[in-house]
Amino acid sequence: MSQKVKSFSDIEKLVFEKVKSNRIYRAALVAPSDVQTLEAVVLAKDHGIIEPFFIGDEKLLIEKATKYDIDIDGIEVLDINEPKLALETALKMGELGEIDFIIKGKIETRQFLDFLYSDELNFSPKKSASHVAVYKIDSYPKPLFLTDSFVNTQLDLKKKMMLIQNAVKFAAKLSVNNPKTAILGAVEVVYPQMAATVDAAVLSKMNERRQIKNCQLDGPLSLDIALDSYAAEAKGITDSAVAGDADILVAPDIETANGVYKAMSTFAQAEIGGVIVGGIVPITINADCDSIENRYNSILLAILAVS
Amino acid sequence: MIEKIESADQLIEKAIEIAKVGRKKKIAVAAAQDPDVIDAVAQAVSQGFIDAILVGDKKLIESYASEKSAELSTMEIYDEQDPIKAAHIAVKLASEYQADAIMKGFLPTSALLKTVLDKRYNLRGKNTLSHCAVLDIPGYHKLLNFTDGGMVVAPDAEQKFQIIENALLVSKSFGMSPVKVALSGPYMTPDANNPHTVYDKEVIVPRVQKELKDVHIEANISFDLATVGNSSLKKKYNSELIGDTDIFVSNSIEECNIVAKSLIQSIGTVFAGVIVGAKVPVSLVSRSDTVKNKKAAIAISCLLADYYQTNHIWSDDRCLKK
Repeated sequence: MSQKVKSFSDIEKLVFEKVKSNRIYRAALVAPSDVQTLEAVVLAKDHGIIEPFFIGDEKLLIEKATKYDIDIDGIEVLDINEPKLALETALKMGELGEIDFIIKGKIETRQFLDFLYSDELNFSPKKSASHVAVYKIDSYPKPLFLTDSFVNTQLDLKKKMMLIQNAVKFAAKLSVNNPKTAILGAVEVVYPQMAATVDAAVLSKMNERRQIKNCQLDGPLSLDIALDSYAAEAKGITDSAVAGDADILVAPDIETANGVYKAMSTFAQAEIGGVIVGGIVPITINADCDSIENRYNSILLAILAVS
Repeated sequence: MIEKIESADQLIEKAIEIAKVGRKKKIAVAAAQDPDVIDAVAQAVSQGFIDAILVGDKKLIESYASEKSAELSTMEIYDEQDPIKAAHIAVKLASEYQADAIMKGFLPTSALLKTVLDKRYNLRGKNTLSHCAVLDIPGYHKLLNFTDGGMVVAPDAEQKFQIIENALLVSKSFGMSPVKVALSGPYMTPDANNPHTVYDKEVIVPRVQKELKDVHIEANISFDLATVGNSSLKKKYNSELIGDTDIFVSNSIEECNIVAKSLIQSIGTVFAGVIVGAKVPVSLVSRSDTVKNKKAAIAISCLLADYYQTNHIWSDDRCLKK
C-alpha cells in the first residue's frame, strides 16, 4: 500500500492489512484494571487485530470488568499484584517473542518509566527508546508525528538525534517516507542564549550533510510556521522544504511535547495515539484524559511499530 | 459591573465599563507607523475603551490610516520618524503619567523594552519582565493565563517566582480570587532526572505560599489535568487545580509558545498578550493576530493599568495620575 495515510481510519486499514498478511498480534496489558484502556483492548480484540493477555491484579481486574460490564471472557490473566514484577514479566515475554507489544494500564507514567529504566528490567540498554505520538486535527491535511511527550527528559543534541531517527523510522511504517521534519522553537532564528535554536540549527546542518538521513529537516521553526505556509511567508521563510508542510514535529523538551499532546487530545479533540519505540518491544502510553478511541489508536500504532 | 472576566469578549466589555465610569485609559503607541497596530488602536478608540497617543512617523501613520480606513481625528499624534526616539517619547509620556500603558508599533520588541527599563523613566518594577499569553480556549470555562512564552528563555527558581508574581497581577485584574496557579510538569510527581519538577515543588510552591496572598499553587500539573480533568481525576490526584486553573506556568519559553500556538492553530483559540513587570503594561500585537486578538490585548492593558491604579500597586503612587 503506497497510498498516503490521511487519518486514523487509514491507519486502521494499514493495520488490518498487516494482520491479514501476517498474524494477529499478541499484546500484554500490564496492570489491567484501568477501565478505559481495558475497553480499548477489548475493542481491538473484537476487531480481530490483537490477542490480548493480562498481567496484573486479577481480583481487581474482575471487579472493574464486572462493575463496568466489560467482557473479558476467554482472555488469559497472569495474576501478579506487584506492578514492577508484572512489567518485568511482560518484558521477558517480549524478549522471548511470546508477546509483540505492551500496553500500559493503571500505573503512573513516571513510576512506569522508572521501572522500565531500572537495572533489573533494562528495557533499553542503550537508552535509545523514545515516544512518538501521531495526531490528526481538522485544520491540517495530514497526520502529524510528535516526539517526545512522555519518555526522554533533559534532551541534548545526541538525544534529539535519537528522537529524530526513531520518529523517521516509525513514520516509514505508516508509509510516510522522507518525512518533513520540523525542529520546533519559539522563534525561527538562532539566538545563542536560546539553546533550543542552536540545537535546531546544528541538526539542520547535520541533515544537510547527510549525518541525519531519510528525512528533510529544518529548524528552528515556530509551530505556526511549521504548519502554516502563509505564516511562513509572512515571516519571510520562503526557502524551507519543511515550513508549512511538516510531517514530524520534534519538540525541544518533554514539557512542550507533553503539553501539545494534551492540548490536542483534549481541546482540539484530535484523533491521537502514541507508542514508545526503540526498546525491546513497542509500548503504548496514554494520558489520563485520552478517550477510549485514542487508547485504541495507540494500539493500532503499536501494531504497526512491531517489526 | 462584570466581577470576573472569563472570556475575550468580557475583556473588552470590562474595558468599556472602566472607561464609562471615568477611568478610561490612554495608550501611547511607540513607532506607530504600523498598519495593523493603527487599525487595532483605531477600533479600540471607536469602541470607546481607550484614548490613544500615536508617536511615530506622522506621514506614514496618516497614509496607513487611510489605507485601513482608520479614524485618527480623536488621537494625538507626535511626529517622530526615528523609532528609537519615538520609543523614548512614548515611554516618557507613561513616565510622566500622560499615558497609562505602552504599545509596541514598528520597532523591535527588544528596543522598546530596553527603553521601558531605562532608569531615567522610573518604570522598572522589582521583577524581571515577563510575558503573559491570555488564552480564550473554546471548551475551557475561563481564561487561561499561560506564561512565559515570550520573554524569559529558561527561568531559574528566582525568575520563575517573579514570573508567577507578575502573572498574578494579570489574573487578579480579571477578578480571580483566589488565583489558581499550576506549575507545569509532564508527570504528576517530581522526577529526579528533571530538576525543575523537584524545585518547583520544594522551593517555589512553599515560597509562593509564604510570600504571596490569595493564591492556590501546586507543582507538577500537566496541561490536560490543569484544564480538563473531571471530578474523578480531582479525587485521584487530590488537587484543587484539576480542570480549573487560572495561571499555567511553563518551564521554558518554548513550552508556552508552542503549546499556545497549537491551540491557536487548531481550534481558533483567542490569544492576547501583555508584558508585565514594569509599572505600566506593555502591549504587543503581531501581524498574525486577528483583530479580535489585538483588541483583546489592548483591553488587557487597560484592565491591568486600572488594577495597578485602583489598588495602588506601585509604591511611588502611580495611581495618582495627572
